[in-house]
Amino acid sequence: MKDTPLIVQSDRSLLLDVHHRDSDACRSDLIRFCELVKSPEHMHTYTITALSLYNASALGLTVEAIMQTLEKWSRFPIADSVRFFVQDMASRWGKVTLTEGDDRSYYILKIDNERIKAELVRRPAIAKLLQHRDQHSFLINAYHRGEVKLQLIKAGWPVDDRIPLTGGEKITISLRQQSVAGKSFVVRPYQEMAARALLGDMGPGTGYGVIVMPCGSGKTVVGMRIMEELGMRTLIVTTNVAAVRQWKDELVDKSSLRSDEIGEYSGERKEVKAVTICTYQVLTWRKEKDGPFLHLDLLTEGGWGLVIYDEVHMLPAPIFKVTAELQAIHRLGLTATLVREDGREDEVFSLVGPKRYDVPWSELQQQGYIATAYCHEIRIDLPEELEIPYAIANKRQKYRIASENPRKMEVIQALIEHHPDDYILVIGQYLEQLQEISARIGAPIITGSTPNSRRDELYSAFRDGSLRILVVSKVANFAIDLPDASVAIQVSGSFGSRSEEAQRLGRILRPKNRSSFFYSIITQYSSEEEFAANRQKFLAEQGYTYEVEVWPN
Amino acid sequence: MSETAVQRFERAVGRYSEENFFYIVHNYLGPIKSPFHKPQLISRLSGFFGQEEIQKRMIELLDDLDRAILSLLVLSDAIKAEEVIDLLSPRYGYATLFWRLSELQVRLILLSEEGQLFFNPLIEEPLRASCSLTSLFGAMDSGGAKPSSLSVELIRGYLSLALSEQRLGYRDVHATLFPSFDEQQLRPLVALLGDLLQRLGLIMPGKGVRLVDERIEALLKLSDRALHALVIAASIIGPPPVQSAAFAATLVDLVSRFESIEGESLTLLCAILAKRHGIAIDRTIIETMLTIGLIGEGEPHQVARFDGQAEVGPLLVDSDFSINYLGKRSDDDLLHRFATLSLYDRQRQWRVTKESVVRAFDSGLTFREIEAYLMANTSGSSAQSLIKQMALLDERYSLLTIYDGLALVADERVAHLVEHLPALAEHRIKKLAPTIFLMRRDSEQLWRKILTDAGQLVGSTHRQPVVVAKEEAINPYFFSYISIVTSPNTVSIARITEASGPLIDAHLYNAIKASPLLNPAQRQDLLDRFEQRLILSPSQIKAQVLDAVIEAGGFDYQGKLSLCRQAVGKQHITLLIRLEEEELFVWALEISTSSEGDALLKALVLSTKTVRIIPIRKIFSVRMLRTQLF
Repeated sequence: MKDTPLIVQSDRSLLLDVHHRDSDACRSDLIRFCELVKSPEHMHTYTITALSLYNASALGLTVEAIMQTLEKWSRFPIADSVRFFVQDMASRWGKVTLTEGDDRSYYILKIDNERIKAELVRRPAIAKLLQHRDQHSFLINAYHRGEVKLQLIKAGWPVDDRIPLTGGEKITISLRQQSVAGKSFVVRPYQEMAARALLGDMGPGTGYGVIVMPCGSGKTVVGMRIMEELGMRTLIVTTNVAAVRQWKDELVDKSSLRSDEIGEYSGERKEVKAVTICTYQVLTWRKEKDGPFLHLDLLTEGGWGLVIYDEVHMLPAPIFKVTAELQAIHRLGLTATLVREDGREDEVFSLVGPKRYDVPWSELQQQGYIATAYCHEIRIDLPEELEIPYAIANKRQKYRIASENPRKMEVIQALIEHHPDDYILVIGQYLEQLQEISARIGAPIITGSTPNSRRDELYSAFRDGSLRILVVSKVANFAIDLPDASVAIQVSGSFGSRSEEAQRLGRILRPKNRSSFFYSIITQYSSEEEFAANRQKFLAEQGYTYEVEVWPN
Repeated sequence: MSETAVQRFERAVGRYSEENFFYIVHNYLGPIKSPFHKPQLISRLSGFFGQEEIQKRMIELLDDLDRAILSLLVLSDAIKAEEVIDLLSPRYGYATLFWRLSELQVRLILLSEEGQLFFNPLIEEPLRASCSLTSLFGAMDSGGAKPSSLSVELIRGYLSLALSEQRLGYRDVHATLFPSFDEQQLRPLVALLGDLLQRLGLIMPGKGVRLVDERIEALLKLSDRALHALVIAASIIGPPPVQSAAFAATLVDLVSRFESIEGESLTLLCAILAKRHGIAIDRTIIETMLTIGLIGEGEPHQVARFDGQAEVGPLLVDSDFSINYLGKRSDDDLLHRFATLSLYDRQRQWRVTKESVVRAFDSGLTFREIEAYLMANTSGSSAQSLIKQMALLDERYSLLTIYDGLALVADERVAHLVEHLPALAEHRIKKLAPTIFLMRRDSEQLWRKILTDAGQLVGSTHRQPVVVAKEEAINPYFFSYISIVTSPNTVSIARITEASGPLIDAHLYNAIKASPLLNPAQRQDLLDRFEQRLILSPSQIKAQVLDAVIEAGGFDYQGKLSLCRQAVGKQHITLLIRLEEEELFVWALEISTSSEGDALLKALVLSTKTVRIIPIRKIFSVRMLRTQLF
């Protein structure tokens, strides 16, 4: 057994002992051909997947180099199954290529190997997209580029896409060294690394992908850095109007773009400019349930050179399909929590692009780029009068009764008293509960029905310090930047949603000169306990530990 | 040279047939004068073989086949010559073995007693030292050893999964949890384990999976080597467990001394050990060895290593409540009782869930025991959060206890629920105390479900231990297996000895050639015996002829008939009969005459153990052979 930090398992998962003196060096080597799966406190897990090997091959990493890296860092001899997989998957790269032909509406799919060709044409999902050209190549409709690539990846034969991405109309954008607000501004090293990981050498195979960074670590800056580097018409798709405005504010504050150069395409305004920010909601809006998506053309017809999918894990199903058609332009997915309860993470990778950068939350916390957060789960009994109603309720009702446990109020009040100097968000799922809390503690509330102008007003008040406590519904789960919030009190949530839990924690992770506290109040001995356990999984895998406390009766 | 050894030697030699005894005496001691005293001659023989020089010479004259036969004797313990021939004839051929066994007895390397062969007690020690596994089975390291598949660690993982899923058979999830196995290997292994654990009484029969704790504890204390032996032993149907366990333990012990072994050698080894332990085996033994990974597929079979994974230090409890460690836990480890395996690879990974902890509580493991275990086996405060979660679960678990009565004991909060939940009314017989209720036995499943649906954590019913008699009825031999596989009688035999051919003594040979005392016939006879490795010392160069060929053939009908008649009923005389297309070693049983007047030899054909009637006129030639056999 060598004194090295890595254990290579037979299932191609790689366990990195983060306390080993060489763990940083090892991690730097691994991220070239592995994906980070989880990064709890002691042992980080990476995995070698077909996709990660294809990407490594696309970037010029050889099988020999990969095996040398594994052998260098592995404590034990590498299992044959791992060797075989690396050899097999990496050797598949380059066997199928996609190039441009004379006719711009068609691309040429070249397959030199007869066996591979025979295998692929036997698959109906692929065969229907191919038109015979000659013995070794097919024509594919340019429109089907994404679909063909997706199907070929599913078949285990990734396409070496040698068609450069189109540029879109040029724009000029540069990042400031001092923000409009007067603060000095620099792109942090990890943000630069993330941008570089996506752009690579700007050649074929680069310029698209997903960047995963913790909440509060400045994903917007990465997006802006990539915009600066590419200098192309850009569409930014985000989760809600507040986030649209935040993007706009950030762009104006930290880049050379003026406010009038940035379009907002939302329910309220329909501006299309060289840089346009819209919401997923508006893109997928339709008059009737089965009617057409009236604004989806914005994605395909805008002449964009770059599309940024903010909170890409939220990508709605209709946009999946359209994104498949957007293979010729640069694509950037940004997220902190690439976990989807529908399990479609892989499709995000296939359509937007592979994960190009991922960093353990604990690492940025140690470096001070995100706040140190302490998570607490506070358990409280159900009042006696609700025990029988709870006992006879169905599952859904049980969860609701437990979530709306009126005794949570006393905990909220105590926590607010415990944090007299902190900026506090009280976050919940159920409006009646939130309204009651709002009334009891005398704090304003933002819900889905709160007009955008009122939201902006409250968010601004919270940001400028004139408002210390804000009660918010799930509208504030994502993308809302409230830099000074340092306490989040979660009173209820959307069942077992892992990403919601992480995103809510994310609201208080902006670095500040104090620690952050995340409290989740749940009803003891109820189904809320189990849902809470599931919700906490993602954060537990990022190294966060919940301190469990039982609230005294 | 012990007195006992001398006595045993003299007793065995004294039982030789007269012809063979005098042949041996003449060969080693030279011509003897009448009258003679047999005990004196025997004593002189033991004196001759007691000489260090003679013994050294005997060892030097051993060749590969001698060593293979002697090694077989070491492994088989007690064996008859015909059994040696049965075991080795596929490799060496019947005639070769027949002669060699005879020679070894004339050379007084081997002796026999009541048909059982044994080493000449006067030189037993050096003879045993010349034996080895390679002498009998050939090269042992041509394929490279492989890691073992079956292990106590694997059993722990398997049991935790069986408990959590309440199923024993193979499921797709196994492929994910045991990624170092391929499916073709894992599927039969899981099936075998499920079957054996039931047959050995480690799992209670009936619906679901319930472990018999005492037996499981004993199983998990086994070494990996003993575990392999247990599984092999239990898969042998038929013989008494004591014998099959002893067989399996010896088999695992010997096989594990190899890095690789040819299939033919493995079959031979199994057959030898089956003989040693008096059991009948078939091909399924090899299949079981393949299934549990004691040997690998392909030729030669790679053999599992038991070089041992060192017991590990602290468990690593991570923030996602995964528990990781490398290698092997100690015998009395508790982890599998309250956690469920999530990955069995170089790094073992277990996960603690509410269900796994409740199962542990149900099985009688207490929170305090788990806490003490985690405190002792984790470093720093890494398990604190997990311990706290379990403490809360324990508290919740203890809110409600069901006793076999069927009394239900709850805390005040739950008692309120039990008393006021309308659905429970018909199941409550009586309120015995504010927090104790007598519940209906016949509807236990129903009111349990009502309580569970009401959000309560309902543990198993606390019963009196009434399963002992039932356990015994499952498999009363389990602990016999355990005691034998944990303390096997190991066979003392070297792994490898240096192979060397018989060392010819040129001086002795030249002395025979040059001796002026011998006439040509005597010299030739002596040289023939020298070739047969019967001449060990210059003192044997005496003027005599011992090996006159007695043969009749061709048209000498009467000669052939006479030799056959002389051999009838004498087992120390074997006839080598040549027929038109075959050559047979036979013992003559009877001479009879056909209705046409032809003489017929009724003979036992040694190679097939069948009786044949052979007309004398069909015999081309017959040779009378002196054999000291059987």
